[in-house]
Amino acid sequence: MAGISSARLSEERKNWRRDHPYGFFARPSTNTDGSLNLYVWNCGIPGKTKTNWEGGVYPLIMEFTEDYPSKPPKCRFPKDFFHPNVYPSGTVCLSILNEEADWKPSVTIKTVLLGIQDLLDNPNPKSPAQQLPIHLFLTNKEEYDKKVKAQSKVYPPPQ
Amino acid sequence: MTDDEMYEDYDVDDDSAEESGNESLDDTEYDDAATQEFDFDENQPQRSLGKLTRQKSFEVLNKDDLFSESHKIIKEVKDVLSIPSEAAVSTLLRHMKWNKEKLIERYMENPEKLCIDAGVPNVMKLNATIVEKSGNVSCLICLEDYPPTQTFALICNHRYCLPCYKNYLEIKVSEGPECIYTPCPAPKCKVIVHQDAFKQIVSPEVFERFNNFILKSYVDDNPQVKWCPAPGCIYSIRCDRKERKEAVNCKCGFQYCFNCNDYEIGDHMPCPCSQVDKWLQKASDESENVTWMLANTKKCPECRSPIEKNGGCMHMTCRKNAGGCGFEFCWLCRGPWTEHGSTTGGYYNCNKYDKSKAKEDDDKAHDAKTELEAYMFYYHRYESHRNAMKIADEQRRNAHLKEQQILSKFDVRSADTKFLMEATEQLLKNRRVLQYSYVYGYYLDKKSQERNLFEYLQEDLEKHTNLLSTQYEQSLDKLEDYQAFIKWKEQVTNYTRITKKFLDNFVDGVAGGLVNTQIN
Repeated sequence: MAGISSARLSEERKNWRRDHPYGFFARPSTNTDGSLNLYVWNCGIPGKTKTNWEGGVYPLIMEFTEDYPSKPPKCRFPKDFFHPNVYPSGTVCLSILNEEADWKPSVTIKTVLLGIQDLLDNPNPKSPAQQLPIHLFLTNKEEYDKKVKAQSKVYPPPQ
Repeated sequence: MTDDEMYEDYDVDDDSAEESGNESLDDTEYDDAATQEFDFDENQPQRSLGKLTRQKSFEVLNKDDLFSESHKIIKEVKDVLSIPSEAAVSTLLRHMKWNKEKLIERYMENPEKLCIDAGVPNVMKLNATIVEKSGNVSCLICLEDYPPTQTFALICNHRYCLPCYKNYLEIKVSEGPECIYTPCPAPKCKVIVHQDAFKQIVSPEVFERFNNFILKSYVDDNPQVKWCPAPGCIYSIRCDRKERKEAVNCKCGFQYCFNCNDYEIGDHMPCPCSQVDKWLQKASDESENVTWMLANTKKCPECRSPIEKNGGCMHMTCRKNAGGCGFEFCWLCRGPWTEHGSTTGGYYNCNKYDKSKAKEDDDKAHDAKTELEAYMFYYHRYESHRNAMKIADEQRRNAHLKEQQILSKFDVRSADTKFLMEATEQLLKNRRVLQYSYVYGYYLDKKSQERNLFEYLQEDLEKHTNLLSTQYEQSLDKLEDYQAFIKWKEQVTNYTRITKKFLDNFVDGVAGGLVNTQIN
């Protein structure tokens, strides 16, 4: 059933523009010729209030394939993003983004972004993806919090 | 002994000739009956008593058998628990690994919990009914609007359009056996998509695959039924006797031990499973070392430590520092270095072959045979027969080519070439038994009484198997005319019979504990 991916993505874009959670942004990227590329989205996830992540809006790139929504999109933070469940490459490790685990075709961009926002302050120590953050998270919470707070300053909300 | 004498001696009488003919028929031409019982030695008249008691000990099952078996269980559970839908029972059974008793017990205890765990929240009603008759439903996968008739929802009421549902289920099936536990497409929903939904939504080909995966789970979860391990074989075998020693015969022609259920191991008569296990473990631990040592070292003539010569002259010292004995010897003749020197006619006066001395060396080597040497002895033979078996298997598969050559060269009927198949099949059997006989021999008490008889029977079998091999491989070019062909055919046929007899003797001998066995 090729072809459903672009229809679904444009529909998701329509829905997102109609309504989306506060502080988030998500828009398809633009090709060099100025046209929209529905398969790569630039998104921003705000840190939850009253957490150490507050104040930052963390940039995330979502990459879709022709197989979407049968296959999940790939979600990447910037390289070396500080989080226990983010690989050094920036790729997010989350069960709803894993085809063999909890990915289902009815998971939407909104669900994914909200899921990742939740993950920021609730890392899953059972599937570590990066050495330093998981080490600090488990052994030196103070240092970990410091690093997280410092990172929130690196990614201020867009003007 | 000439060949003629040979089969004069061993030729078998007409009755047993017929016997062996029957066997190959039984082995190769199966009838269409869904199941067939085999017995390891069903063609031996003297074992007819054993045959009666063992007849039912295993059966080959095809897909239809598996289907009707699993269906019988589903029907039973359905009746006991009064659940109207077979699809619901099927999901429950898969959840309980096809354990009927446990399912009934758990259901009696707490039906709600069991059903929720199994992903069948309501056994009476599997799908959600369409409530809003008017207005379209938005499918949350493609985000398009559809009339309700073109949508589907399980009892959890997560409704999606049929094309998206179809795509979702077909992808799950294409991903493999886990598709039988496919949940509803809604995030976090744990309701399992039941068989009827699959049937209704996916294409018939995909549904067929889905059903095959259900049968696969039935076999995989059932300790009494196992798939035939031969590559590409579609049959499975049920064996009710746990410790069955004899091989089982699959309809695909593969003969193997049900307990090991391993294509590489196959049938390992006359060894018990535990011995094969031990042997393979040892082989994987040592085979690389052994091969290297065989190729690169010689043994110290005194203490038998393996020594690698990596440079220098022929004057070797078995170094104590390296765990040796300090013995000095000549690398070439392995004689003591004290016998090498000006007084004995030069340092390297060992270029003459001294027959008596070599014999003495051999004897000495035999006496001082270390455990490793013994192992290497058996391992080498085990490997050789294993390789010969692979060749025999290839010959068996290529027998029809040889047959074609014969048919084109000589004016014979195709019935006249049947002996080729029989010979290669016999060769294959012999090689297999010979291969494992060396494992058995390795673990057999070195000084026991049984050993004599064992080695005697083994030798017979080995010798004649090799002769059959040689006969069979004779080039067709050497057969000048029809007469020569007939003579060759008779030879091969005779050796096939002879080796069958030796094989039976050997297997019977080992099975009978190698005592009081009458040698034919």
